[in-house]
Amino acid sequence: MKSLYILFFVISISLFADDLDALLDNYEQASDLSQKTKKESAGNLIVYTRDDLERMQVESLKDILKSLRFFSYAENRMAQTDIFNGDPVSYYSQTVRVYLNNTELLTSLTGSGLIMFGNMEMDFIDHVEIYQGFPSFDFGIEPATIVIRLYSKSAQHDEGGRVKVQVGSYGTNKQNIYYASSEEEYDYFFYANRNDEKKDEYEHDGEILRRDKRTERFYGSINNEQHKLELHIQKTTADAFLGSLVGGVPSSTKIESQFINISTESKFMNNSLVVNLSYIDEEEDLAYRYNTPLMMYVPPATFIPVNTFDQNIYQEALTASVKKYWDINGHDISVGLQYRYKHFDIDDYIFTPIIPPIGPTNKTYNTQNIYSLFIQDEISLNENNLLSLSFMNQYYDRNKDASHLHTSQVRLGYTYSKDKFVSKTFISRQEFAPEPYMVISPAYGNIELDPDVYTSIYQELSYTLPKVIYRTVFGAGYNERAPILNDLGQMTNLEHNINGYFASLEFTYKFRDKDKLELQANAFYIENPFESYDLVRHYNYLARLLNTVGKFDIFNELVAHNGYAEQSSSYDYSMGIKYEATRDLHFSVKGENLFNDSLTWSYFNTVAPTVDKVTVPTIERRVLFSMEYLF
Amino acid sequence: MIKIFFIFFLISTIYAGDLKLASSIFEKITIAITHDKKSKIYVCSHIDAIDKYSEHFNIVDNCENADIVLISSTKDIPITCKDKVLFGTKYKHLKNKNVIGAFFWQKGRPNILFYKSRLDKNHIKLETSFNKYVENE
Repeated sequence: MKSLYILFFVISISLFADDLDALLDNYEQASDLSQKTKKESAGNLIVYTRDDLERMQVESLKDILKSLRFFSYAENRMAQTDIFNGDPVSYYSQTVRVYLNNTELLTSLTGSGLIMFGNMEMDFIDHVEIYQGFPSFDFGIEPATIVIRLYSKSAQHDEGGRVKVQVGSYGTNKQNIYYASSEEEYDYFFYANRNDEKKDEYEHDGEILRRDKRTERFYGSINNEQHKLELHIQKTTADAFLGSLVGGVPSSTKIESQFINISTESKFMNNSLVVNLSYIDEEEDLAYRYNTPLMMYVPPATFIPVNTFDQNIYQEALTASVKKYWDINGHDISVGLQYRYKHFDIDDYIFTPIIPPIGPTNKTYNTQNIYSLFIQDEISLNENNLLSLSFMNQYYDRNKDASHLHTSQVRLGYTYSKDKFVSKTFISRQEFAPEPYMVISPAYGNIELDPDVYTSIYQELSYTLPKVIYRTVFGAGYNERAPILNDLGQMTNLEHNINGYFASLEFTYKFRDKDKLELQANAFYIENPFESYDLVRHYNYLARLLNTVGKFDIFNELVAHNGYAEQSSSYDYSMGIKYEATRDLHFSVKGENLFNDSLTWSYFNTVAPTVDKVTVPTIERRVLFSMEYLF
Repeated sequence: MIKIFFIFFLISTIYAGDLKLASSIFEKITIAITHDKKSKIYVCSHIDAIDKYSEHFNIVDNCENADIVLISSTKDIPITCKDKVLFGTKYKHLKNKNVIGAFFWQKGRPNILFYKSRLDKNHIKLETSFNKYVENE
């Protein structure tokens, strides 16, 4: 009998210990900060939790974007992120908006920060939310097709510090450190990073093209319960690959940029009134050198050989917003008043030999004031039905010769939820003002460019069981007055509509607490803007497996594309293993594009007298070794 | 609106409310310290998980009657708590020598930590299952 008691005692103690450990594990997962920030009704949402990011060994935002539903990771001809790239226009992703916490990361010229932050290292990011399908208006001052929200780590969960070092293929290396502390009255978080990303070199016309990039970053935040102050500085020195000019292969290219952002957030009236302020100062220096002179096209029909091109670009943006939230009898009402001032100067450029000014640069605008208002009402019809009505309006006040613009957006959302089944429907019609670079670019700018309009319907259905999630997303839309390059190489509004259709099937199977399989098949049909009714058919597939075996986290991912941008089929297989030597010391190895068969992208070298293109992979094969130490 | 999205969160057990789980952890900790399921607890000044699930605890209004004091700040602890057993919710609370242990977030994960010397000083013997959370100062 005595031994039975002892046995019972031992079992109950071990169960109690396991119980507490399991509770702590569950508490860690349930406390994932994405549970507090995500907005299910704001769009077709994809969440990468802290656990996902760590176990997938997500090193940069690119690692997530490359498996984005319907699209893919792509870069422009200057090796800058541009997931909607339409070469030779230097940027086409102006409608993809990037936020760090509640601050929009943007450049004044492009209107979107993806160009600068699309490949940002993720070591200070806690979790990521990606909203597709023309998301909710309360995110920003202007509309978006895709919103990427990055949330930084904070003292709330990360008190203490971490140091990380990494080496990899071609001599790639990265070092960063963060430290967070929670004091009695306030919390703070500081992060510093140096990342030297080296890539393969590509020979074309006897010249070597490079895409290396060195990034230094500082991010700091200090906050109490009511106020938050953030400082974000990014400095990069990078090769600009083929450069922004069409007509020859450069012998060397360089972009040096500096981005400084200071922002504040204050909450009043029981957090129902939120005031945000943000100031961004950015400077960029470009330098291209040509051994064989580049044949520069000077309208109307002249080609002039140039040997060098140097440009200094200055940009600044000030954003202020006030948002108020009410919860009145089943109505969650939000109203936002927002203002943004943009200034940009691209006139400081020089060619050798000096050539006549190209285009009407000096006569277009360099300052823009945007006044924006949104109103949204989320109505709980009953506990199963939620209706969301949103309206947003902008007034663009542009100086010099540019006319004022007025744009508006409407959005209707309906969410039905019953037990394990959820249906989300979004219908929207949104006008997008042309971004400054489309108007003032000496190469292709057009001051007469009108806003384009997207009309879309998205439907998402999901069925969630304890271990399995089934999801399908499908929709259709059309784009009126799409800005594209015409035969004269100038941005112009397309006269006919571009129709698009998309569908996605997704399956997630959590076969054990720490083991997850994700499968996705996506199809995206869009009309070719240059040949109406000729459909471009793009299919992408994803298989991702996350496992934990003892002290090892194992990650396998296959991303396949077919039909994208007229490229041949591609298979990007990545895998990683992370070893937890102790709770505070981790080692990891990750291989990307191990089959060396990822999606390739083509860029124009010359368009006349013959068309010649440079084709390179968007994701290169590489291996990374990392060590993290927590203190 | 809140109601409809609660359904999303409650679908899977791992997404059980974090405050509920935190309150369960506090419950186990207080029992481990006092060996009493009905120990009298004084909260200084507020802890969300305990405020929300106060029915799981025997909360008292003043320190004098408390068996244990759970603190969210080392500032403004009532003088009547002077000789009481204090338990913290931040790593920094352990700087106060009267705090015997803490349940806190650090390095991206939740932690429980007790200092042995402080437990001994207060003649507290934890259940053996808590040995892994006890360290020398």
